[in-house]
Amino acid sequence: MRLWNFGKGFFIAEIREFEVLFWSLVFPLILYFFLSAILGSVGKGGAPSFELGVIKSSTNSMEAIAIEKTITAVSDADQPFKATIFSDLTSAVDSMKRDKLDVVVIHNEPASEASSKPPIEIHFISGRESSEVAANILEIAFARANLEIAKHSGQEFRELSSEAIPLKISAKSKSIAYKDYIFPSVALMMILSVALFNSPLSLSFYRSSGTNKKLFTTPLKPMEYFGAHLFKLLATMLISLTLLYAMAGFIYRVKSGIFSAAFIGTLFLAMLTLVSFGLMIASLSRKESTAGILGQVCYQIMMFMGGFFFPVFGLPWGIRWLVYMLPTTYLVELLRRAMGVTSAPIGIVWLISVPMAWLILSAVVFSMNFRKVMGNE
Amino acid sequence: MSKIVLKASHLKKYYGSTKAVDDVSFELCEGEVLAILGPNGAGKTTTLEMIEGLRNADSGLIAFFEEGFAPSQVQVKERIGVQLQSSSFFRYLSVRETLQLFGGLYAKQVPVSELISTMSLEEKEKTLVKNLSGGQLQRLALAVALVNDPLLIFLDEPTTGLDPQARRAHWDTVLALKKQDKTIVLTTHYMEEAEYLADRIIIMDHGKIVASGTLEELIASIGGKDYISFRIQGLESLPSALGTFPELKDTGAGLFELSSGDVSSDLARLFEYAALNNLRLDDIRIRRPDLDDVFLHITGRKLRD
Amino acid sequence: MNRSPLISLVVATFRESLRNKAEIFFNLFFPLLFLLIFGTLQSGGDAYRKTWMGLYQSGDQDIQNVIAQSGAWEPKIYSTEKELQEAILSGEINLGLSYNGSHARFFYKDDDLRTQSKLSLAQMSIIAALEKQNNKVKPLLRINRIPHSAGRMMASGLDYTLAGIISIAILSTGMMSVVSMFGRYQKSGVLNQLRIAPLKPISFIMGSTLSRIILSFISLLLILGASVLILKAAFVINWVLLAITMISSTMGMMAVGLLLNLVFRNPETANTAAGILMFVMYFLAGVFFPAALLPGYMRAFSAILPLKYVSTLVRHSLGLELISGSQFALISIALTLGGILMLWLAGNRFLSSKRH
Repeated sequence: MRLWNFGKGFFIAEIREFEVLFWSLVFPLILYFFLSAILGSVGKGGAPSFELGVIKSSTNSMEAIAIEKTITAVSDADQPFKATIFSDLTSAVDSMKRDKLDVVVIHNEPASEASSKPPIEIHFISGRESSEVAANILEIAFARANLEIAKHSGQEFRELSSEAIPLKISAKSKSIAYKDYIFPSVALMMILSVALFNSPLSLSFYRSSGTNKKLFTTPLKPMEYFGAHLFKLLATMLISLTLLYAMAGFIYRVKSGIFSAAFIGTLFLAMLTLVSFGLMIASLSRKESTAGILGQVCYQIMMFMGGFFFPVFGLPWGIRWLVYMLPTTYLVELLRRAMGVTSAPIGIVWLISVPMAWLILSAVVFSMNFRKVMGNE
Repeated sequence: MSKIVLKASHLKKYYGSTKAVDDVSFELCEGEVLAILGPNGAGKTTTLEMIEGLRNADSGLIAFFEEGFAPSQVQVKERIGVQLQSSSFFRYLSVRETLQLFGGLYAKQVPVSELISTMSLEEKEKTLVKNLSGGQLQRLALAVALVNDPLLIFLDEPTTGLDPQARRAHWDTVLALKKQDKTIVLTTHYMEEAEYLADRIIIMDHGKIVASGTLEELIASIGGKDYISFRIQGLESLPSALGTFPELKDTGAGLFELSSGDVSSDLARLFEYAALNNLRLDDIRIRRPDLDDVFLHITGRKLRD
Repeated sequence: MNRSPLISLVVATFRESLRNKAEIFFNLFFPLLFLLIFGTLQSGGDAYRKTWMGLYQSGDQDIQNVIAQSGAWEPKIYSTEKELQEAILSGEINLGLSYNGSHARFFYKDDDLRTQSKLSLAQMSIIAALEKQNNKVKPLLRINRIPHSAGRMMASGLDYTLAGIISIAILSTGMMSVVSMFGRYQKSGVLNQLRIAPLKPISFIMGSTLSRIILSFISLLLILGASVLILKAAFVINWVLLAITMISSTMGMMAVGLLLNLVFRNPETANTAAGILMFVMYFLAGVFFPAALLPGYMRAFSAILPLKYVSTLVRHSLGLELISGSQFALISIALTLGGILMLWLAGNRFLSSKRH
């Protein structure tokens, strides 16, 4: 009863702070929305749109007609390009440099009768992604045009067949929509934020402010305090997860296994592991500012190097070892496996044992420094 | 004879070469108000925190109640209330919620409404802790210390930073508790507070108890003489001719003070002297000795220094 | 001789910041950490300017050159198709091609969305190149790709990413450090102490914020150093323009920070609001994801944020994309003037009694 009463008060005291309320409960929803809006549209219909500058030739040669037809084909309705005619290359390139155009194509006049294949020049801005992609698309369009001309020229033409084959690490791995795929990352980010920020900062603050000191004069046992602290974290995470699940279920109609026992079980493992990690941070930080810094560093590294958003297994070994050290690498993969997706080349034994190892190590470090964390001499 | 509720024997606490508490011993009887008086850094708070179980003593013994419980035992915590030197509660809980929270930690709880009424916090009942003024926070801290109807109450510098009105209100609360036969230990560096509230006073300096007893006993220990203070118009320093008054001293800024065992006789001599030497005496006051005088007598320094 | 109030404040706030470990970390080292994480992720390691494509060919033709010339691909040879597939699954490479002279199989990892978005283009360009070689097509339409520099250097995608991160670092140091500094001063009562001193509002604000500019400069030097020395960025830096960019951008962002402090009286709430704004700008900066991937409405929204203009100045100063002198001056002046105006307004409001 004492633990429940204290835990309840402890939780209310924290959740009323706007920062805790926002970053723990509201922010994960905003993040889910952002990521789904941005990355959920990748690969889905709707061709990208590029601004194309064209300098035409005045001749009526076959080549000029072929070029004109190709340009018309790529700048028609529903095609990637929107063409604007320029009278000279300099002004077109100048516009491109000023980011008014993505790519410029010029059909050069033939220099002489002998050079009867007028070159097409595709001008683009090196390094600017939209420009390089536009140049690539145009180049392909002209290359295909060349092949079409060759096919219809009467000479023998051997066409190639091709196919794109997605590879799955496991035969059981299935394809899922991005809004489903991103759910584990968002859920883990929320857990990380509570575990690495709320927890150590809260412990440091109550220690340094003297609140713990007051509590020591009461019959409240240290383990009861600690239990209430865990209850507070768990309650925050559960509320946040409920909101995330509601958003996933009702708004995004995510179906891929996030309600399965394996997924939910992994979430609990993640909570235990990361909360334990956060407690270890608290035990290694004498001051609130140190806890804040350590929490931030670990959070950023775990999030970006843990494979939440980008593939990380192709990094050079100089840095790839870090990927294999992080508990989040395994936890996010474990969650994806529960959804039926295999994206990391890691066996199931490692997926469970590495987070468990971190859980045990963190718990040991924390328990060794327990009295220091509580501020009790 | 009253029961002994607390016995502290030969307590020591060192921080490196600094002796924060150096062999402090005392006993506390039931229903008594004991004030531990001393300047900043005397070791009062350290002593109290060792007794409250917040610090470990390097050596010595602390025993509570007849059973002789140690400070960290739950049987002690259930029966004591503590107001710390600086109060820190959960900022986003209201006054009522804070009292409920702390009340819930004890087996025995005073109704929250009663506490709120006792400490005149009715208007602030729903106010968050972060929005309380200094005085309101101190009242809340005392309310929290009383939440379990404790037998023994520790108040660590309870009125530091309060205005005179708030201080008096706090004193009245302590006296009311005393009437309820509560045993109270309070630390203070305000002499008036100790004089007003305490049955018995311990004076500490540099980690040691330098004097102990009731107010009357302490004053008697320095002779118990009264003090006559006065100014001489036109003179800033003691004229040599006033050597006939051997216990006369210059307290500075043109104020002189005479320690007197017989005020009437000494006053008469003083007036006679002034008349003979054509001196005009101003601002004549007579006061009883106080704890500051006791401290000065023992340590050579004023309590306020 | 007594120092002027302005100098005294600058020295005091600078010293206080240097002694504050959290402040030093978040202003100096956190942007650096961010740069190193993202720079490493984006660079992809060894071949950071081209993407590896695994190649297994069972025919006689040597198609390595064809692959290399057909796009931004660097061919990596595998002796069996199984090895090629394993390399993809292990993450060593993202895309693979198995070719037997008549049929091309493109392999990719099922959940690798980035590669999927490039796949159809890659497929088209490589098939076109292979058909051209197989049929010995003499192309009617000869194509020449001519890269241009929009600035003083031939930039790569990584250079653009690093410039984006540098812009964010300037924004973050300017805005966040002011929000946290004034929040701290408000909470601790230092602001009240300064209010009762005979201090002019503009001296108060300039004295408090000049130290931010110095910190911002130090942060910028650290990030630039890391970009060039560790991540091999190929910037051609105009130091004068960069200094102007840093000062004007920092002032502009300090103004945003002060605005937040004024609007949200509670320092913690101002801090949260600043955090949200930074988060939005991180996303729109094209650092996490290419800006081209952003939905249209998000790209339109980014046009009203200061990030767009700071990025323009940064790219100009680093030699990536030049703008006209008048455009540079206009943006710099607008940021600076906006900054000064906000600083003046904030100074008056902070030191006035009406706020309290």
